[in-house]
Amino acid sequence: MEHKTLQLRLYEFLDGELSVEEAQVFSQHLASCQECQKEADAWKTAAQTLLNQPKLLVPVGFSQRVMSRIFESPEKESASLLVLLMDFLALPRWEMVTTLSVSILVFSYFSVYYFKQDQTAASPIVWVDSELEAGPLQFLGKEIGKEDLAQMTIGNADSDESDLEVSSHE
Amino acid sequence: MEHSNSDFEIIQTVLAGDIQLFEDLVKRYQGKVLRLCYSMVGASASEDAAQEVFIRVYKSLHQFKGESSFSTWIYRVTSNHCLNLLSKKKRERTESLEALTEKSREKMSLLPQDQSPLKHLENQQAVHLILSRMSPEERAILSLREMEGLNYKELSETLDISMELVKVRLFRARKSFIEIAKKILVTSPHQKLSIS
Repeated sequence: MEHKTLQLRLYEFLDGELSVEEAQVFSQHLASCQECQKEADAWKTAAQTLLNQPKLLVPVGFSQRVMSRIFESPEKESASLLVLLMDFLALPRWEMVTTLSVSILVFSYFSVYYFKQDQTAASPIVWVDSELEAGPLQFLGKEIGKEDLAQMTIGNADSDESDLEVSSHE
Repeated sequence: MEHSNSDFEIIQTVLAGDIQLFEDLVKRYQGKVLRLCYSMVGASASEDAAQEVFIRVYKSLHQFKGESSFSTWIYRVTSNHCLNLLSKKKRERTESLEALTEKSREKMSLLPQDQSPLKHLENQQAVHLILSRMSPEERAILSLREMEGLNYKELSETLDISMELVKVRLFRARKSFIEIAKKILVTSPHQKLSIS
């Protein structure tokens, strides 16, 4: 194996991350390579220094301060409630997601269905048909029947009366 | 390390509503979290960062499934939080690097000149100066490996990167550490040192 490739494995060797066979190959190389020995020694010193850094003292009252912040947090309640709800339902998350998705789909289907029903009930043609059953309609002082209505051009709800044209009476 | 209650048992109790028991987890891991925060964001911001880490851990406790150890999970939350902090404060420095450099150089000049410069790394300020000059990713992996003693598998889980990337990043981090150490120690105004 080339020196450069072996050099890349130096740190894996020092970290004890090589297999027994790989470690044997590398230690043979290390015994004969001054450059690798030098680098290994330099790093061992540095690593020891990093490891021997003075122990950091935990500030007095640190855990109490963390707990105070948790108890002050407004999300505490909602987090606990969510957990309680999950426990209550005792459903794995994927089942929960599936149930929610199906519920949304069913709700959407019925919403669209009822919206269409409402639109049909509000249709002007159906309204006119039901009105005609009760008797002839009066329009501009004249009686109009279904035939007249068929020839009427009905504008939209925002149109004024001039949009309405009764061709049979002209 | 043996504990009277396992981490997982404490977590289940906390999730069941006994929030106060979370303090046991804080006490158990505060040293590790503070140490990693200290090496990543510096002394002045380390306590705030560590407090934030524990708040985040508490809020996402229900997401911990026990697939990895709790210590790996908490290290992951810590390193992610510190990396986020550092990316937000990219232009700012938690310590005045120039002041730190000067202090460090002054101390270096008082050290015996016949020693290897890496011996001078016992100077805590010098170590933190070197760490602060490294990229946040390199600093994270080096601290986790050398100060916290995580193995490659744990590093891979903690940093959410492949084993191959762990090796590459660790190799670069160590090279970077040595290079920065050479620059800082060699440029001491009162002595010319070389890394042996």
